[in-house]
Amino acid sequence: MPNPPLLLCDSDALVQLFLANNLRPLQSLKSTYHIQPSIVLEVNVELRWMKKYKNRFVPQLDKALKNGVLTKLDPSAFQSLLSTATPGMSWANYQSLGQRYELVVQRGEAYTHAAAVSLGLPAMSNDGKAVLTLTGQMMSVAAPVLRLFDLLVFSHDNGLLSTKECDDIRSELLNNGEGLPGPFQHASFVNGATTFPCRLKSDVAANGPFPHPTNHYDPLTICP
Amino acid sequence: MLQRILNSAGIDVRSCAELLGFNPDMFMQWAANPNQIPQSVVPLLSAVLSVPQSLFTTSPKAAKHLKDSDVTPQIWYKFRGEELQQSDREYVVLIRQIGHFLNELEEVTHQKSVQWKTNFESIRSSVDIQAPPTEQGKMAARIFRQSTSLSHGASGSGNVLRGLLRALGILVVESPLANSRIEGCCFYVGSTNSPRPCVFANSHHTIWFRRNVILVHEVGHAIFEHLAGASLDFSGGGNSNDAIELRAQAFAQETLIPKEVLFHAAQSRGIKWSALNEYALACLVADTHVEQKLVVSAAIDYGFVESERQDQLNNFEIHGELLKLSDHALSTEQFLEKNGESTSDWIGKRSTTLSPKAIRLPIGYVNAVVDAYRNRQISPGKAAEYLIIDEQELTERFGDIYENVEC
Repeated sequence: MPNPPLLLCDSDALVQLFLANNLRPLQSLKSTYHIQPSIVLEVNVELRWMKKYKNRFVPQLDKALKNGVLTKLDPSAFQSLLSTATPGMSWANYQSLGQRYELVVQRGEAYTHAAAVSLGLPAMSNDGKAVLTLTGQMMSVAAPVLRLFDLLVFSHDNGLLSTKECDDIRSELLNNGEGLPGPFQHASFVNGATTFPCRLKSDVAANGPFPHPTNHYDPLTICP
Repeated sequence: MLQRILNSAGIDVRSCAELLGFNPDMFMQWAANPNQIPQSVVPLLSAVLSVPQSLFTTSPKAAKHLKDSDVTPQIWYKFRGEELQQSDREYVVLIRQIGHFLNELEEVTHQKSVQWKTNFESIRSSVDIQAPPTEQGKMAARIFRQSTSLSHGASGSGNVLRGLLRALGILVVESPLANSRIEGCCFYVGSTNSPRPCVFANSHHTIWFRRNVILVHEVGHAIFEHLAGASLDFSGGGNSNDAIELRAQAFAQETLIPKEVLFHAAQSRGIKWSALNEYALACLVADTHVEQKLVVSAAIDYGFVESERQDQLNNFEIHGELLKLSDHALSTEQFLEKNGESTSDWIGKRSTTLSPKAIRLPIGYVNAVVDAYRNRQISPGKAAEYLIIDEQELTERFGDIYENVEC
């Protein structure tokens, strides 16, 4: 299976990267794996005004959008991805799905999951409780749903981020009262990673084909 | 178009953005260029500002031909008046947002009540439109009582009033507006194709007995002034002899303290009308659940006391006696202290912390959100959004149902 063209990122995961002031894992996805990190329009709105952080992330967001580390999933971008989507899918159908999801979860994650489901793409969101709520209501979610720490562990294992950088990110998130996955709450990055079931793996194409993720917790294997 | 709507409503663009949780700069851009407004945001803006969704997609060329009166929603004609402050309008925006949230919540929980609609329509079609306003109010109240559980007893209805109004689908908000002249108001909330009445009572320095009257007075306005967009009542009265006010007040009196209720209260306490003193009047207030002035007014209307005694009875100092008879005469703080409840449990769980202006949310609304969260019908993040608090605060106030679940 080829690498997905896009990784749809939710606000909560991007906020953590912005707090750490380190977008290299996203850059690497784009440059090494040709996976474009992207945001739905609702996440673009959310990131520009967060109840807790107000407009703190606007400069970082604008910069990431300007240099192409992030792109917006607008109607034309959506249209260009329809060839791999389920037949009959359209922007209007996606909006309607997002509207239904928004009754259950917050706007950003609602449209992130709706877009991922509509286009058959993975997503990155830390809100596992939202995923459980959606699946509990028999609503499909992205497959898989990566958490930021999946990307960090992946980047660490592939030599992109050093152990010190990962520990610094963890500390920065703790200092800002951000939630961390259980294994990292009371353990260093390396110790936490040993018990963290990472959902993002790298392999060479020759070892493929790799299993296609069908659930939100299935691992995604990508090739450079 | 958004800019024109906000201007016509007298709402500051930046304040509105913050109230709704949007970046003010981005909101300014939306105001100038509505094409940039994401489709997903339009239902919220439409519901809060009370304009049809189609108005947001009106092309600038077509918008040029529209007059301000074509785009100004009815409600804002009332709320942009000089008697109101910017903060009053901001509270209206917040309350309208809560109305939108409540509609969404009811869609998820499948517990939508639109009983108010048939109830109000039946009243409007039955009341003689040529009758004097007070008679119209009384007729409406009799139908209202008959169509609800209020007619089932002859005792005061203050304890069941709020629940009853909520069951009808009416949004009931009591919150302190310390610097506002508004004592009560009513307007319709929700999108233009899914409205619901909202009645508001300013709880700053008003006792429960008074607020009961305010709330039902506002319901009277919601029934009869449904096309007016909003009705406003200011502290100190001022327009109490207007036909509209007379009708709403007659509705409140006949709904809360009809003759049989006052008669029953007096009889059960062995009160002799000719010997009405401070204690007896306090008993009547405590038992009928309405303020002193309304008890006196009703007693005169029903012929129990002579109208010459109105001023004397209104001037009776009954608060001391009332405190001994009813916990409802206590201030909120006194009430909580007496009942061993902590302020944080009682009020704190209902107060918003992330809105630029704190508002005390209705108990029924908070319970509906928390139930939906506990039943896993909405995510913790969504529940926090509906309560206008952050997610951590939600779990501190109401527990974490996912505490032992691996996410």
